[in-house]
Amino acid sequence: MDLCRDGHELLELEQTGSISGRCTIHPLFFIAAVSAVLLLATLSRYYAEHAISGKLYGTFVVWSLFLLLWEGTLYLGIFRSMLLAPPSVIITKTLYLLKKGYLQANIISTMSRFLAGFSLALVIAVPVGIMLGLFKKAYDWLAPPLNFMRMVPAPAILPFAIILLGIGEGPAVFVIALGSFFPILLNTVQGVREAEKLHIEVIQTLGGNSMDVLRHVIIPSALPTILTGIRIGFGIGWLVLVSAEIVAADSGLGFMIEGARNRLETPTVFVGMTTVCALGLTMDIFLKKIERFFILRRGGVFLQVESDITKINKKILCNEGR
Amino acid sequence: MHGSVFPEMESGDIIASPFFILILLLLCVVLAVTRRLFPGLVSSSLLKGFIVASGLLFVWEMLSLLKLLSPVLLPPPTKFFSNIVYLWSIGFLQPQIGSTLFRLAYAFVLALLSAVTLGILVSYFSKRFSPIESLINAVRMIPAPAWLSLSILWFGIGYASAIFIIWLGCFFPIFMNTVNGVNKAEPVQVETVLTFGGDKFDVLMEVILPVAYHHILTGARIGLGIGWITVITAELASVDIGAGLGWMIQDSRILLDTTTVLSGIIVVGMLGTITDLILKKFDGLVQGWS
Repeated sequence: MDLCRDGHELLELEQTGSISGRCTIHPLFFIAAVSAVLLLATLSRYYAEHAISGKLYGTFVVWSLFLLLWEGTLYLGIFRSMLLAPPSVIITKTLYLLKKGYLQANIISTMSRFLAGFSLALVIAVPVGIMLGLFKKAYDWLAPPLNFMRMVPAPAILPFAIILLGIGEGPAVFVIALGSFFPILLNTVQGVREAEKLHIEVIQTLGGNSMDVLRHVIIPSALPTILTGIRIGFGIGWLVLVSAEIVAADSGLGFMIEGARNRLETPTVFVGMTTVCALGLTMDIFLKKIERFFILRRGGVFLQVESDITKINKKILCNEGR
Repeated sequence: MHGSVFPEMESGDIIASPFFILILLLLCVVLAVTRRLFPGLVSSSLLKGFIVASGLLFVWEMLSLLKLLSPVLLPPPTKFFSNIVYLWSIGFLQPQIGSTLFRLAYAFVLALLSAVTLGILVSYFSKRFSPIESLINAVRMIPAPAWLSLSILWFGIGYASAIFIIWLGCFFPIFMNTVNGVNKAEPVQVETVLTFGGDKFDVLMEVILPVAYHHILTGARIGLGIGWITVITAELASVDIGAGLGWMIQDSRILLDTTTVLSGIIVVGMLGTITDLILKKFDGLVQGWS
């Protein structure tokens, strides 16, 4: 992965001009293409209303106008384009970086780092959270120190992690795990504590032992809360991942963005940001799907988990009143 | 000016180990006695938390005294607590705290004003603006640190680029919560105000803001948490060299001054807890109609 570690090879290629002239998208062509799509959507909305829903059409219009505005103002030179990249250039650059394998290498590096940290947090936080939720006395004693540690921003631990674990993958993975650990832990505790007393007593009356209580009452009833915690932990972990890669990494999308900034390659900065956005969006949608699936499977009513921000916020600040 | 440029002054001597352990014990006893005498003054969670924290620090100190932990990698608590006192006494810590808090407060107030204003406007034009949601959601998924490089390109190295990304980090939680909170206003209440001859401004002041207040505050607390992550990231990436707790931590790491790294982490954690508690105090100040 030499390309992944160092972008200089790319810089040379650009200077010798081997990137330009090949498969570039002209701004006017881009504007025409977006306008055509917009026109097509409008026509199909006008003549065949059932073909495209109002919401989808609105989204189309907003995105097209946004892209047209972005491309158009830069093409007309209203803003300095050295520090901004139009969408056509971003697409060209993305294709180029994909062809070189540079983007894939960074995506793989970022994702493996993130998945390592996130699954580490998951594997530790959920069992520990269930234990702390079951033993209320222990949690009462441990909650204040845990809350203090939660308030230390994860990137602040990064330099300390570098001293402890050495330069490399270790500190980044550790910090990502730390960032997503607390939301998952606190939500798991919350979920376990909210389990219905009555249900537990029913199982016990029918002669079940504590393992049965755990399997049939506590875990199923805590699952939605745990999944919400996992989604919040994902958000924080993703934030911390980018921050760790910008500060201390030698590969990954954050590194790519920061390296491109150093070389004043604004298009690459935008490519990196778009990729981070796309990956984050995809994983968020995936987690939402999982959440919905488990809640529906439980036979419960789907309580607008994704639209009701209040509920999610309560979970973020779930130490409230302890 | 940095703490490590005075190696001849041994900062670890300010608080000796037996003295430190004694202080911890004494504080635990004082807290316990105060709780017994005036139960309202000290909450049980504070007492319990303090006892657990002192226990952990005691174990750590003991392990260091028995030379089971490396003093370079994991310095004992006495070392980094006295280092905080030392850095404060030479006047090194205050400017760091000041510049970090200044950046955070500046960006946070900016985010609060802009997000609440925009949130109220967007939910006022709610019907027309709903397609924009997909655009906002996409921008929201770009973590604030990813904007760091771009903001350095746009605003140059210095306060402005740090404040821009902190503002971005704080903005979206507050914005989303404001929109959500405003939508929680009951149409009946809005109509009541209108029936009694109030105009739209009255509706805003009497119904919408009191209802949205709690939600805005929740958003502000989440935004502040993200703001802390972002401000530390900006300082670690040396967006503005020579100022800020993040810079202090990173610089001490490069000098392998683990004591100062840990001092910085403790100070950041304390400031984060205090700012969160301040925002929590604002809750319940305004009561909406129910």
